[in-house]
Amino acid sequence: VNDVAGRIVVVDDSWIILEQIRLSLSSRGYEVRTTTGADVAAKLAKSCDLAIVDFHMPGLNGSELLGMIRRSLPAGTACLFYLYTSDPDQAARYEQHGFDGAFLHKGDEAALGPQVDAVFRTIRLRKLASQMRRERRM
Amino acid sequence: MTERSGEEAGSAGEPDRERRFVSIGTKLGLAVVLVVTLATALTFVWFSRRERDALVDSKRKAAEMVADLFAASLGAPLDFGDADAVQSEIENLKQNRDVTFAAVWPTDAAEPMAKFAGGGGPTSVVREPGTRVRADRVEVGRTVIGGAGKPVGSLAVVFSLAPENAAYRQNRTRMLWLSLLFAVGTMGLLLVVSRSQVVRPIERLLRAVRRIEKGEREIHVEVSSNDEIGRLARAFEEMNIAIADRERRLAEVNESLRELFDHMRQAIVVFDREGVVVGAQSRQASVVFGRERLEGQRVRELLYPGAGSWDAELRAFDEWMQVAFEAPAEDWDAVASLAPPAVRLHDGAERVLTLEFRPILVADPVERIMLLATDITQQKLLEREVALQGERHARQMAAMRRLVSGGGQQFVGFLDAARERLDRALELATSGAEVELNALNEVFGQIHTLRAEAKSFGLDELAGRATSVEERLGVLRAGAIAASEKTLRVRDAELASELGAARALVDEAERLFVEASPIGRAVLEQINVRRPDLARLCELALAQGGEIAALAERLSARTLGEIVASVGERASGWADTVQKRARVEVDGREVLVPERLARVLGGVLAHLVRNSIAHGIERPEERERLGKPPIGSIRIVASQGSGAVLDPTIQIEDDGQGFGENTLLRKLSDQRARLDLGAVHHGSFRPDLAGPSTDLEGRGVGLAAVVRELAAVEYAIEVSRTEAGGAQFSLVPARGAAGRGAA
Repeated sequence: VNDVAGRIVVVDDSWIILEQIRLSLSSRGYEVRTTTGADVAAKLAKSCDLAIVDFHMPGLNGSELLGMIRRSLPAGTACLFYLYTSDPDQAARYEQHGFDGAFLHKGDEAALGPQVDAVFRTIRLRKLASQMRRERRM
Repeated sequence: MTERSGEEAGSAGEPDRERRFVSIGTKLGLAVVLVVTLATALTFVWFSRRERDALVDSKRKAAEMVADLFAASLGAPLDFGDADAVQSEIENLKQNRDVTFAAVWPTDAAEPMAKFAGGGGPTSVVREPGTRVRADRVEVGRTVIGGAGKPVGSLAVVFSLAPENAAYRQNRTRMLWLSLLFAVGTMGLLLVVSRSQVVRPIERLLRAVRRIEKGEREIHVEVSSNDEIGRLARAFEEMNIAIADRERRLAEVNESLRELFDHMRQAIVVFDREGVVVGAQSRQASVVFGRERLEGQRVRELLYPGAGSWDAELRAFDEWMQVAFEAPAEDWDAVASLAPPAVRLHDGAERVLTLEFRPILVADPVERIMLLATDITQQKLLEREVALQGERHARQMAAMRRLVSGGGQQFVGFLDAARERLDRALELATSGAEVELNALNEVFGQIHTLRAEAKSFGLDELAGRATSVEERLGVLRAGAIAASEKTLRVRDAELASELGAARALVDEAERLFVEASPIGRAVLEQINVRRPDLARLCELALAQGGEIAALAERLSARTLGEIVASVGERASGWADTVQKRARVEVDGREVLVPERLARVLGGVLAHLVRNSIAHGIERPEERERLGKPPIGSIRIVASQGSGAVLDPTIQIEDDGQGFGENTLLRKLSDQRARLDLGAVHHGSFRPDLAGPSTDLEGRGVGLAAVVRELAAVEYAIEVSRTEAGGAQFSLVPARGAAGRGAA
């Protein structure tokens, strides 16, 4: 998180949805990359802070896709993986699916922005907390 | 006494409560019984032993005395070997009933010379001199001394202790009863004292504590003693008074806080490190969060009601709260910048709250956090609505301006046709009469055309409505065709509703069209003609005189809106040059101005408006000081004359300071006087009197030119003041004006 609010990769099977999400999150200052494929997603995730992954995709679900992406990522990659769904039940099972968290209200771009903001606030908060702990020890 | 930490006390608390309750009275009672019983038993044993020892000791002394006398009496008989005399002495000794055994031995004899062994006594004893006390007897041995002072024999006498033992037993029983009586009495006394002096006062204290626990504060504990319990009770009362006082002050502080919060018109709550709302809250908080009582509620539930534990915003808030309560004061700003800036509540309608978090520091780190939430839902809605309206209005105005610039005739024709088409369709939708399928097809075609035309004029909303109507008519038509029917009855409320909405949009389009037009409603009546043709026609007609000449005058006339448009647009620029702000309002844009007046009116109005800005309208700061809006207003109001000849009256008035230092104009305006060339040449408007001024103010020659130009087209100018004191100029036909000429 440097000159931009954060780097995000979005994985979905619909280009229309990807474009809507890109427009919505770009207007909030994020650098957004979009893709429909796992291979490209894995490459992009290496340099991103957050990956937003759709659950229902033709041929495979978000959990399987995430498994494919994670397998091809080098150890220690800092990217967080969030499930994007309109189904609260799926969202509640994000850990079972291997995700770090979940975004709800898929299709409502106005609702996605605050949720993404919350994740990036948490990323910055963790850095700040660890810095505070270091200073306390010194 | 060992003190335990809170944690230890807490962990041990549960088993303590489960253990059976044993009152302090019972414990004291048991202790008293135990101690008194033990003391009584020990006392009894000690006394009874002492009693027995005394009895036995007396017996021993008596026995020794008797044995000594007996030994003295045997000296002579043994010296002479007189066995009878020894026997006789033993017989005398037998008279003592306590003696149970007696024996006498000459010196060096193994067997006794004489012996007495009573029933129940011993049959043999130790011959050695001395006294030996046994459990049931006292044995005394003595050496018998003869006349020469030499030992001549020895004796042994045994005395029974039966009488002493019997007496001892009797005394012991009596002592036992006495001891028991003493013990019971002592125990009773101690129990009564401990109950009245310890147990009951403690029970009263306990009851008082329970009442305080329930919230009662006016409690007095009746303890009159001056011992430790009394001191405890007094300390308790003092503590209770201190607690009540602290609570009262706390309530006062809470009330003050609440009043402060209420004045701030924000939802304000304070929460602790557990995330629980504590203390005072603002009234607005109850409204915003929809709960009467917020104390004790979790702040995460208030901000994210019904959110699952996976909710990204809720998780971020939880994590933030944890860090916020650990952060040192100097890091607060960094931590606060990562707090949620806003939340959306979905309780029925969506609401948006902006959030602000402030630390409450008693010591480092933060102990409590104050949350200030502001409901900006209405503001957001308004912003969204204004933006939408702005976009829509801009689109429509742009379309209208294009139309106006190209002539509105076509658009007016479209509006009329659209109304006609919609009315026709509405009749079809609501009459319920049987109609031919062809008629339906015709209406369908007309609405289809309307949709296309609306689209071409940029009326997207109207086009959308037309599409809905078209689809509805299409369904009806398809149904009739499928049923092979040539006629059908249509009564469709939904269709009627859509048509009504479309009709309203046509009216709205006309309103906007008129609003966008510089000539107002007159635009609806205009047609496009070539100006040279019209000018020639008027020239010929005016020469004819009569009605045709009047008609020609009307045809050649221009609307006021057309003439004044450029003046209105330039006014704000003129004002800027003298650091003022002004706008021009026009009332009567459709008023027709005869061609001769129209030729000079633009210049006249420009001069008078500039004059108002230069001399009448004050600077914004001065206007605000006077309680006026910062932007000055210049109104151009026109009204059409009532005769056949066009003779409009036009007023130019402002809300400025009037005529200021111009004494002549001030005087004239008091009388609503007309300015004429005489007045102009009299000197009031002479350049040398006007004095040097800014470019906008001119040098005083402009108004003279205005009077001259107006006079040339048979118009006069009158000067007066508005009710608010602003300057007012009226342009009136010279032949009909009733103004008084200036001297």
